[in-house]
Amino acid sequence: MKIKKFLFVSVLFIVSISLISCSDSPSDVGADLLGIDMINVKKLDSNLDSIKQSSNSVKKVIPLGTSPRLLLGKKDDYTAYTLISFTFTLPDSIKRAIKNDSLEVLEAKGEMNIDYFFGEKNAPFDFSIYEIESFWNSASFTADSFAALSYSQTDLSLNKTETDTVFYFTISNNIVKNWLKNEVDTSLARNRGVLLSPKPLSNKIIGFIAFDPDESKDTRINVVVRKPGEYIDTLLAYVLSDVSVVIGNNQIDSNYITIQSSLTYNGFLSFDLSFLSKGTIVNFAQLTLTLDTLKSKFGTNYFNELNAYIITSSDSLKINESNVYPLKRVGDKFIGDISGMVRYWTSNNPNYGILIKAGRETIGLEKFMIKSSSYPVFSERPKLEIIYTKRN
Amino acid sequence: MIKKILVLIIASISFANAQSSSAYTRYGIGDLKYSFSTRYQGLGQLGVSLQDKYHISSINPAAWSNFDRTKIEFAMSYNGVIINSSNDKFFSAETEVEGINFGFPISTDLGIGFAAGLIPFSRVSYQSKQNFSNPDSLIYNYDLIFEGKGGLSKIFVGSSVKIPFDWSLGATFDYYFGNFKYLSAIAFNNQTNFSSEYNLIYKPSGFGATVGILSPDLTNTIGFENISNLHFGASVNYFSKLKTDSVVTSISSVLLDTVAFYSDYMTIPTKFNFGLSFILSQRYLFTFDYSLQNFSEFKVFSKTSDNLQNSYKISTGFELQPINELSPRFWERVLWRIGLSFEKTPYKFSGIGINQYSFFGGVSLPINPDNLIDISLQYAKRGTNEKRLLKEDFIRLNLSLVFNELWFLRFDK
Repeated sequence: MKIKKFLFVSVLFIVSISLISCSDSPSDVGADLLGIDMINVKKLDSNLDSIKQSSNSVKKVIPLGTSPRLLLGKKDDYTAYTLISFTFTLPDSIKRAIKNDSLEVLEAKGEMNIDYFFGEKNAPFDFSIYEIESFWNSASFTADSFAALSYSQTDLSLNKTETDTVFYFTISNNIVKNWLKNEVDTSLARNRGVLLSPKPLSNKIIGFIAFDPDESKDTRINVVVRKPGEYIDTLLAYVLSDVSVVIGNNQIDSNYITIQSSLTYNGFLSFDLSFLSKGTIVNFAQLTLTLDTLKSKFGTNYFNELNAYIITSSDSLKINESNVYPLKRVGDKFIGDISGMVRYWTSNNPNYGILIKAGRETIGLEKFMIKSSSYPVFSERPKLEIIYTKRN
Repeated sequence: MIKKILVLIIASISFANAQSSSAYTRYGIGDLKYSFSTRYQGLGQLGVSLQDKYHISSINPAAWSNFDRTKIEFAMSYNGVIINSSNDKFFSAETEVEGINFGFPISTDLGIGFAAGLIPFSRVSYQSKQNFSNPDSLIYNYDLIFEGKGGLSKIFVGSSVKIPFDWSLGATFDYYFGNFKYLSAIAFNNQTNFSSEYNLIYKPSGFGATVGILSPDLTNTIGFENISNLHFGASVNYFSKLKTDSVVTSISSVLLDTVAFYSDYMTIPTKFNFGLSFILSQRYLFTFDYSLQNFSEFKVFSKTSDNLQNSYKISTGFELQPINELSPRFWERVLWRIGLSFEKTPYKFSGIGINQYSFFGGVSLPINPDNLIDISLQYAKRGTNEKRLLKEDFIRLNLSLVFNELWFLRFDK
């Protein structure tokens, strides 16, 4: 019994001692003796340190079919075309009338909702509508495909009116009748849609709301039909598919990296980081790009951001689209945290460089003129700052 | 019951998360643990010449020759240290398991005793945190953190035997293993920067041996009156080259990278221990001990360190023996002891050796005639504030439970 009591007291004593093993928070006492394990925080500034960098602009045509905006017009060296095909939801009575060829189209009036201007808002603008004769697919149709597009040379458009927010036009009744026939029986007529082509006098590019199943402001055509002696009705032509293409080129100036949406120009940037040896820990990395605000051109309602991507293969500048490093606009700079990117390179992955795209590369025509690696003012060249730790 | 106590001890230790020493322990193998048993701690940590029927000497296996019971000894310690630099001071404490020893007699006539145990051999324990501010907004303020943990432990198995002229000889076969972890880290005070952490880890392992001798009672040889139990003891602690894996890793956020990996040897110099003890007037035990180890020969990966020197320790102890071990009165069965020691530690910085002065006190509280609770207290001063070095004040409280049982003994009918 005595032993048990004694053991109990002993255990209590041990546990008490463990609990009172409280200590001050660690201080710098003794740090002077630990130089053997010293690690240092260092900073690299590509504009101050001799780090090789290079940059250029790369045109990479992409399909704009997923864009929520259709571009149409002409400005400077850029010409934007829009391809649209329409479809209908028809009641059986109308279908029967079409089949019997007893339905007349009295009027087809379209409306396109404006959400963007590139160029002066009041600048002249006009366009023609041509029937497309060749097959196209909005998911894959690009500016490079445009030259091979076949379309009639007859302008089907009439009575165009532009307000601040809507552009109205009337389209030839015959083509709309063909679409109706095609809707009932594809063997009766073809419907490959229409090409909206700016007229030479145009000096602006307008953005229209593109097809969106959840959006009621996309392009529509109100079609007034009549079955003689029976009824007059109004049918709605919805967008089945649409896509824009922008044709044009930029004069490349080696002092600038041109980054432009829709056209599409991307920036390529590379820093020689071979000095970051194995074992270096990258704590933070920041990329700063300086914009030439005078040479850059922007439309209305644009997304004022750039995105940086790791180039994962030198072949055609392949990137991982899901790994985005946003560069936010601050004054005339675009600044972003690219720590993950630099850590990727220091983790034994090859450094093929950085691809920079417009924040919304399929929307608008924004042209960001970034001062390049050969820009005469050294401090305005692309700047990479890396905070890193190295063990002695 | 013993099992439950062991579990409780280990469970309580797992909460300990502090430091028990200073940045000095970054060098060599850290602070040396001279003795396991709390009784020996109270006598100045050595007790090379003690022939002890209650405790298991881990310093001289020849002392096991008079085992008459099966023994189990658990020990733990509380280590508090105040570390003073020239302009600041810092207190820290840590509770540690000191290990477990087990021994039993095989033949009392032949002096054959067997013992085995798991005990710490050295300890590294330090922390440091420095704040830095940087005018660069991308760096801002950060903490530079150093931390050292670990040490070398020893598993031993050995035996003793009586040799001619009633001398005792003992030897152990030792297996050393350890884990020395030296952390250097940077933690930024802003939210954007990833932290940095470098870990240098040494994992030595290898074999060694301890051989010891213990004289018989030399009282008759010398012929002093009032002196009894005069013993001389000596032991040698030999280490083979310990195969050591070294790995440097860097960690930042979720990224773990092995920066370097080496495998080579750690060379620990041989340790020599000598001791003399006697009992005066049947009641007063005196011990005098000396231990030395040439740490200037210590090498990790063939490199010696400028911060290590040859070390030695001189200690003396005094124990008041009980009037009557079988007395019904508790306090008449209690053993009291004190000790003093001077130690030239293995550490040396800027040409200045780090010396340590210690005072010890201890007591053995009998639970019954065979079982004890030993408690010892050490107060030590170490170091200097010259040349930005550290002065340390230690308080170490050791506690061990000693169980002596009549197991494994064969009695003649």
